[in-house]
Amino acid sequence: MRRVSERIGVHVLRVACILASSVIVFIAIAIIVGALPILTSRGLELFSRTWDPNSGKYGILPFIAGSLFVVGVALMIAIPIGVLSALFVVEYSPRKIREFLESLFQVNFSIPSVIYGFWALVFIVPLLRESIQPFLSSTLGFIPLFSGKPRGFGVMAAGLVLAIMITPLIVAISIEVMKLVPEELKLSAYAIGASKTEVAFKITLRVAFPGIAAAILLSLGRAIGETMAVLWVTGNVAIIPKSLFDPCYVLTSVLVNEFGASVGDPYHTSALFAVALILLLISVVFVAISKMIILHMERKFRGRK
Amino acid sequence: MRKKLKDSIASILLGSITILAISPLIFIVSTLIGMGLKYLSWELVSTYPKNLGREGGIFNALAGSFILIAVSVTISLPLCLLAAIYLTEFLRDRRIKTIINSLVEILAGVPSIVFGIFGYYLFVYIFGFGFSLLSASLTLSLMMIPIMMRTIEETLKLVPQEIKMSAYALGASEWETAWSVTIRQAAPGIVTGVLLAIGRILGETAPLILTTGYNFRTPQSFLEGVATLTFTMYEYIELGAAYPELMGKAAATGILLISIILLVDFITLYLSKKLTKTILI
Repeated sequence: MRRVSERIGVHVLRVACILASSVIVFIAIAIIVGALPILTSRGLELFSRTWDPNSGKYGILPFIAGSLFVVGVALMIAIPIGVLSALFVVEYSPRKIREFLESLFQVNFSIPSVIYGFWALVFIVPLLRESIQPFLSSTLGFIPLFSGKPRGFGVMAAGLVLAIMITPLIVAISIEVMKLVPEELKLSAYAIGASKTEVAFKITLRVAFPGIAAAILLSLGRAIGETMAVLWVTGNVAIIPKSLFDPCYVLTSVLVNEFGASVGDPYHTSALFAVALILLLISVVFVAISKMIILHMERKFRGRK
Repeated sequence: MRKKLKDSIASILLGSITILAISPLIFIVSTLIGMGLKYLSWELVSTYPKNLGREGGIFNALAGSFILIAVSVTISLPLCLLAAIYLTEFLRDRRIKTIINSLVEILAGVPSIVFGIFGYYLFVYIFGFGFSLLSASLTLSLMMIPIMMRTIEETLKLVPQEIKMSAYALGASEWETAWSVTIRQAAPGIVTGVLLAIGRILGETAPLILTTGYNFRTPQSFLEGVATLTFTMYEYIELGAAYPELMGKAAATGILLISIILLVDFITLYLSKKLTKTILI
């Protein structure tokens, strides 16, 4: 008797396991099915430049361009700062300060994205509008990237807040992978007379490079999928931004602002599903690749020890 | 000597970059306190909002957050627990294990707004639950799966093989061993996993915008809307252009939200440093 009930029990467990692991499959199917009507009826027209649901124009290129531009700006700022900070924590800081720094970076993960968004709205936007952007446009205004009216809202504000958000992530993962660099490698470099700086840049940074690349990919995936931090600061204008001062509209924001109201207009909903599909693909691919690299590095170095 | 000099210059340079990287944290916290401190009061945390939130407190959001989390955990925990037990104790095929683990891993990378779209479409629209506590907690319970399942799995794996072996030697079946030996050993780790998931999910906003309606009271049924701390911030910021005092209240809500999340995260970190680290990344 005991056997039978146990066998049923194991079946229940199996069903739970299949359910939990197939959530991602359901999500993917739902979103692909949702996006099908617009993909089959408009095809490549979907990637045109005009988004105007009222007149039936569903070009999502402005959102793709907006997201890429904003995330590009964020990475340009976050990569050097994040990687160099990690290098400082691992190679230069004394042991006691190191733990303190690590936990300070950890605190950043506890701050919800809606708070970053709020702060960006009340702090970054006025700062950019009142001082930074007027200064940049008077000194570097001849470069197209810095042209336009200093509005505060736009690519620059969103890029900045995303950079601030993903820097701790880059730091934390880079620290983890830099710690994986075998001590023997560093010691042998010291033994032949290398300085701290040489070890840091020529050994640690180089050996940890794949892991750092993984950290960057992971934060790229996170940044593209980030919603609340950028919602209020991009300006939400569906144009293709050409300057850092231009307003823009990102993939996630249009979903928040329009999805609820779109139901009842099948093509509008479907176009938004297509936006969600792009988001899903980008973030899943980047996150998957980066996790694979990290796993590979861990195996390589932990295995050797 | 020249190398020493170079080292200290590099150290100072990199050190200042590190300070630069940390400084936004200070700016964020001080902005929140500067704007929100004068709104923090006993009235704020103990009374319902009046007049669209312009007067009264945010008790609806505080209670709503806890209700929503409680319901989501109640849905998600049993599922994750059963799935993790199957994965670690009963599933032998390594290939299937890898597939399941990578599917869960991929789920962890899905942006929260996509969960919102899915939740809206499936629960609000197709199932007809409307903007409600039920739709919101079902959506959040899906988002909890990756963190919860992975932490529980990691803890179950840590239970020493010898303990299980001794149970088998006493004639216990796999089933009995799993439930009366392994699970008990792993109980503290499972608590950590749940807390970790709660800490993550407390800060979610995007999926809630599409699944929970707002509610100026505490919901009386599963089909009523529910307010949360994050969603209240969203609402107040959206209305903030018209009513500036709501921005102050949003900041005060933010202070409460951060304090609660930090508290949960510190407890988690205290319970298990190693577990927390493996999951964060």
